[in-house]
Amino acid sequence: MDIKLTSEGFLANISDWTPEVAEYLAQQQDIKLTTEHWEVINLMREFYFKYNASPSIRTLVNAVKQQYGEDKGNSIYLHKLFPNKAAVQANLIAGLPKPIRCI
Amino acid sequence: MKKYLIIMQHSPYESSLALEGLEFALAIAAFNQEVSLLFKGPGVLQLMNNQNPDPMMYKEFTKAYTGLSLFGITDVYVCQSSLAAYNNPNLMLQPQFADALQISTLIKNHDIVLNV
Repeated sequence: MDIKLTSEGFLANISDWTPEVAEYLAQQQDIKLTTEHWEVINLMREFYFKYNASPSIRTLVNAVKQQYGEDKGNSIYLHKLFPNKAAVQANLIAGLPKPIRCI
Repeated sequence: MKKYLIIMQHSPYESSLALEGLEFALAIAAFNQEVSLLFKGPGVLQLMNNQNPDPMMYKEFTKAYTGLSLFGITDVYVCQSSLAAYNNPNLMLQPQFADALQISTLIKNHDIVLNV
């Protein structure tokens, strides 16, 4: 796919993102996107554009809990979906810039 | 667990201080520490509604203030007289208002106080 990525695999240009691009980015991370993944990705994007900030894992847990309930609003669930640093990996697939804070 | 009070005293886009203060608050809150924010002097302008900064120049980072509870921050205070000095502008959230005496109590009741 002809899109520009940063050296760490993040989308270089935030406006390049489409659902197809997300599928591609996920593939690069060895993840096959399911409905559950999409719930989190869409929430990430909503969060980012609403608050102009990327959520930390703790914040992501709170946001998922608020939207989808306790079953999904916990870090174990999120790490099963996005095994490599859930908040960062979900951020990458959602096409958002690398978070400034590392936690 | 320590209690942090971060006192925001700068207007949002005059320098990067306001943004740095917010980033610090969010980072500390991510470590499950208790964080309170106090907006004072020109700092109260950070909470003004409808800021619309030029997107080419500034990121409207203050939008994060509308989601503070998600970040684990629930205690937000605003200096009442500072707000009055700016003609009580509309704020993007409902803070607790504090007068000089309440502010000194706040400072006493926190382990770490940071002026930004």
